[in-house]
Amino acid sequence: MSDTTTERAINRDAMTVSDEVAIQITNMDKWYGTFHVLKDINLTVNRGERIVIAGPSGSGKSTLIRCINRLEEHQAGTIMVDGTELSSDLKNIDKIRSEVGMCFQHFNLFPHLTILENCTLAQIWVRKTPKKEAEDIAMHFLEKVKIPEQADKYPGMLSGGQQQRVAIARSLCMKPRIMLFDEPTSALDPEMIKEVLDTMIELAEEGMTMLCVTHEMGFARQVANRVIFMDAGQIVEQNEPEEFFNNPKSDRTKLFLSQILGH
Amino acid sequence: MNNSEISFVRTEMLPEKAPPAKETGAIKWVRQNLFSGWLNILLTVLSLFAIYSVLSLILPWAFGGVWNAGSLTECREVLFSFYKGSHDGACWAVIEDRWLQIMFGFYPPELYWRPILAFVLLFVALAPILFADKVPGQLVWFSLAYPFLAAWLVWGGSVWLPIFAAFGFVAAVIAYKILSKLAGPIVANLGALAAALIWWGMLMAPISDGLHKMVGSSRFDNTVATLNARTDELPAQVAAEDALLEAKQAEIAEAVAVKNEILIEMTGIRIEEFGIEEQFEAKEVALQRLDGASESVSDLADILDEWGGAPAAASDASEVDIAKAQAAAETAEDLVGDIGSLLSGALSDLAGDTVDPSELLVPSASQADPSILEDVSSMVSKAGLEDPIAALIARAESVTTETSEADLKDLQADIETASAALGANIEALQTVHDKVIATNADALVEPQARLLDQTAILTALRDDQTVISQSKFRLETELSEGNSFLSSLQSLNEREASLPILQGRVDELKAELPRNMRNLIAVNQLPEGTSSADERLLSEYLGAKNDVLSVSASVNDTYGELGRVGLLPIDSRKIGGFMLALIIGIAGIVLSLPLGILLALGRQSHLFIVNKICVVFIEVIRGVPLIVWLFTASLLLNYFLPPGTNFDLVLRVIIMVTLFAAAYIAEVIRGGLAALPTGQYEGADSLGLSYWQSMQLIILPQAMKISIPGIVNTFIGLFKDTTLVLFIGLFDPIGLAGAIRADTAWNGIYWELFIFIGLLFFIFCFSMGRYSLHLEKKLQREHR
Repeated sequence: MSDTTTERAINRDAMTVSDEVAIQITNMDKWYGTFHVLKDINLTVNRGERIVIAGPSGSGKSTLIRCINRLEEHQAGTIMVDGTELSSDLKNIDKIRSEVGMCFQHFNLFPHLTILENCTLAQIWVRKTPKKEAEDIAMHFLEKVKIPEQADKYPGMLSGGQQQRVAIARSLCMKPRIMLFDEPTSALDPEMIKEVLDTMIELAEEGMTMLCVTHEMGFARQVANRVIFMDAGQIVEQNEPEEFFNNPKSDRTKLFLSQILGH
Repeated sequence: MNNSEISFVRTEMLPEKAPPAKETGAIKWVRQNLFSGWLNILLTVLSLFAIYSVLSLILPWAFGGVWNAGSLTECREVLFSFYKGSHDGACWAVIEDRWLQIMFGFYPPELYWRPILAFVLLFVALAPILFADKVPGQLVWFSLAYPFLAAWLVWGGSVWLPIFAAFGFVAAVIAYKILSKLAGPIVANLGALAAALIWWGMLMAPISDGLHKMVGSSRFDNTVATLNARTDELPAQVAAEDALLEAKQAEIAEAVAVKNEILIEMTGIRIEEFGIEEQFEAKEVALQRLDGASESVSDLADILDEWGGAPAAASDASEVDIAKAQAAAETAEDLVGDIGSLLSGALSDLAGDTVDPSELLVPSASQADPSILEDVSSMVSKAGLEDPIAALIARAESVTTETSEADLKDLQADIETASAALGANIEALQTVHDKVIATNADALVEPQARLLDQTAILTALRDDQTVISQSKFRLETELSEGNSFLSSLQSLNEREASLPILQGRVDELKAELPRNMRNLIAVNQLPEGTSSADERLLSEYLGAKNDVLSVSASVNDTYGELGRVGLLPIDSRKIGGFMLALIIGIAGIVLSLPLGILLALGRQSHLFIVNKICVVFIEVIRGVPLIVWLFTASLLLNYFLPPGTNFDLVLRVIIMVTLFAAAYIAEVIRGGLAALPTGQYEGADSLGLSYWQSMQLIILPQAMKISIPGIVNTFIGLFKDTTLVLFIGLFDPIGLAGAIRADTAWNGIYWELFIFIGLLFFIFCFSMGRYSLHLEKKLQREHR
């Protein structure tokens, strides 16, 4: 993968990590039918951490973060998000989902609604925010991702990069405390990747807790405070980015890094 | 290669240019779309020819039709007086006469305004749903109230019924609002359902009865007085209408007589035409006979030529030769006989059935066109035709098998001469005929116009007659109903007073009855070996109970009618025609869509029981023909309902049609749901929307958009399938067409009725199709 990095100086000082635990995953297992996808995952994420999850395809990275807001159900172990345990209790699930924002590889914007409606919908129906106030919030975040002028268009009229930024704004409108990114730049043209990464970096600078599945190693190096390498449904190695990239411990990680950065 | 050769830098960007100018306009369109290749040219020509052939048959028939006539026979009279069988015309008079019936069935004509008002209000109610962006949103409240309003307008009855029925929903909403604050959503939903059921099942009837009783008691004296006065004056009014009717019938008879006179006058003008037409047949038959005779002569000459005079068997000939000679001799004998009989036949045809040209009647035509007389005088006289044939007969009698070949040739030539003369005569007659028709056509124009006027007058008179007889029927009905209502009013106090006594008797009998028998509802429920005294007691007790029920029901009925604030109730059997198709169709469409959506969601559900119930429901309903479900509704449902329940047939049909269409809609919407990417579900989930929120806001709007063509297709099918109610005895338009054809006046008419009915259905189905296209275009937002 290319090293798409931002040119401007990144304010790493703003990205402080607190001691408060945001996500606590203990001995978590997941199967698809009889296929054991995630094996004994243990992971603690503190508030303000920026974690990049890397690994070959099929290693369970996406499944892991999708378990965190219960888009996938885990079969063993516990997942605590903001002190609430994820179980089959619908009330807990809806509560956690509205606290945890998520961005998808294919954006998953709602094509029948305008950009503004995409951003206000959940506020109005889940948060019961009055329409006017919801629109103000939506415009605030659309300005933040630098596309307020597209508010009245439909998603189909926007470029991929713009759509992904709208998706980020849509999640932010719910004022989440944690953001999950599931390969947010994989479906984008190289020219558009940068605009999305810039948005994510800004978010990181504001101290957002972020879990990001991505192949953008430049982003990982610059922004992440921890990189997790997964293979065959297990966490193989995790470390600070400098150590991870310059001095990988396991052979599997070395092989992966040589393949991904080798040319 | 030098580096400078491959390096290239664009210094300025190219401007946009217009596309190359080609031939444009109509010629290009025709060349591209109609004549773009040999196969297309052929297809275009063939299609144009096919279109022409169809239209050249249909258009004269449709536009040359008759609009004013009282029966099919009258239609044919008028058509004959115009076209004289040269081409057929449509008898649209049946539509003119019966279109109200095809529209409304047997609904009382003076109350047509009610269904019409309901139909007009339908568009007001649909506007906020179909054109949400152009209509104020508050109109949705009217849309919600509309079903109750429309049902009340069409079926009539007390105004309380629709209001109370609607209040059931209000009660459900109130219960939901209160309970959802106190408990979870499931409890709130169940509570809402319970509130509605309690209202409809237990509270509605007593409250409505109480209201009727209250209003009825206050009106009692007043009503009796008005009814008395009214029944006194009604017979006189009926008699007056009778007199009017008689006068009108006399007028009609007079007008029919005038019409018949015009027809006779037209026949008079055409009498010359008809006279000439009669001349053709005899002459043509005679001509054929002469030609036959000439052929026989030539055949005879051939045989004689082959056998050298009379065919006779030589003594030394073989058996085969003898047989051949005998056959030839027999044939020759036959031919000799034929010649004579054909000639004399031709003569008698001419003698008996034709007239001499000098006697041919063309006086009025020849006045307009004197050249006709010349044509007539140029014709050979009757004697000129007959005499040569008579002479030929004499000569033919002398023909035997011995006649010489030369004589035969002579005879044949003479026969041909006579036949040529006859042919010339026929041709001249044809000329005269054409000229007479041409002159008559001019003479007929004026009486034809008068005939049309007269039929229009007749139609107007008949319409008047219908109005009078309807009003007479209405008065008579009012009289008989008034009388019976009056008598039930007079017995009302008595019946009411008898109620406590009857109830007392029931209580008495109940006390006498052994305790274990008090809850039985039929004598045959008694265990075996019960004493006959007990059995008698029970049957008396049940009989007394029945009396109480029937008397109190009749008291309630009387109060219901006395205290009714609302419209005259109309029985379901009287609702028919296109109105019935619309009622069933629209109710089916409106109800089946939400039900279909629920079924589709249920079929996608992960809840095992819900899923399987929906699957079984859909497959069973879809797998059985609609007609079977309609029969179930009309016949079998009575077995499953508690005895004595009177469940309106139209309502039952609506329920069945709704269930049937819902199964199809469910499958169509399931297709739309399946076409949505899972990302949409995940996107909605990740924002914390609940299941119903994500369905309502995200999934269904998109799935429905995809399913629009399928949904509208199902709706169109449903609307047309309403004609199937014909088979369970409801009078839909097709059923009414049968009823109209059963009338002697219109017996034998098909096309006109079915074309009219087809057109009515087409207008509605086509509009639905167009609206769906409009909607699809409007929703074409995403550029996928």
